[in-house]
Amino acid sequence: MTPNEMPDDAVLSSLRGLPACDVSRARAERLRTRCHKELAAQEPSRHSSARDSEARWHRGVFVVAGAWCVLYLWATIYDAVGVYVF
Amino acid sequence: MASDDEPEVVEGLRRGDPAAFDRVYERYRPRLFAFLLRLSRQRTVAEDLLDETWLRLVAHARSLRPDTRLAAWLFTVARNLYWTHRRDSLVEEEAAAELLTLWPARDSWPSPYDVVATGELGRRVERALATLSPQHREVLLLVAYEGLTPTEAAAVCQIKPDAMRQRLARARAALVEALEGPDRQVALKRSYGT
Repeated sequence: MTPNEMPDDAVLSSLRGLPACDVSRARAERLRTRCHKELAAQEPSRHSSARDSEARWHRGVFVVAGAWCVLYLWATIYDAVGVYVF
Repeated sequence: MASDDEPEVVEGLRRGDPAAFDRVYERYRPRLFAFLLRLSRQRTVAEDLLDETWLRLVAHARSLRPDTRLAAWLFTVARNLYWTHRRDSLVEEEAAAELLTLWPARDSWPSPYDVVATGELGRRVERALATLSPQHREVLLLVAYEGLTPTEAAAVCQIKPDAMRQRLARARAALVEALEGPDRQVALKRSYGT
């Protein structure tokens, strides 16, 4: 018998005839509604994605401004060195 | 036990689609409740654990893998919740008084199995099952009642497939003993003329 083969006998088959059970209709509906709300609450919010793109734009501005500052500083130092050395 | 549309349903859950949730909910809610009820033998406990199981699914819906087997996932969560509850509360009550709660509530939906429930054999099997240890009950419920393969049931119970087959054989033997118990007592009484 392979690991997935079911021993098919009367004893185990008798369990298949056990009655189905369920919670009351009202309780099932309450739980469904609660789960729908939880699902909706987890939806990635449009506000947060807008905030993300705004943050990316700001970061880009800072990177460009930072690079310009570094270049300016480097050019200033280079000029100063040229004045005093030569 | 995975249905043909399961990948589609899982994809829907990953998107947070309520319709996909409803399909899973309708398909597995009675099965999970029956499993938890027979495992815990207490309706209120089973109801609470059922709620928690579904809330866990919702909480993890977006991070499910596309190849998730929902039956195995849900039964694993339900089983783990039961054992956590059992450890926390140290509850292992005697079954007799609670056996009545195994029958469907008045306002629950009728099913074809209700007919079987009224039969003597169904009651005997239910009583015999309730007398077994939780470990034996869970393997019998997963494999014989829910139709999970022994490998799937082993994954749910977090044991190796070989260990699952051994446990299943022991559970089956225990069920046979429990089923034969009352008959043996009746036969003994008859033989002694009492």
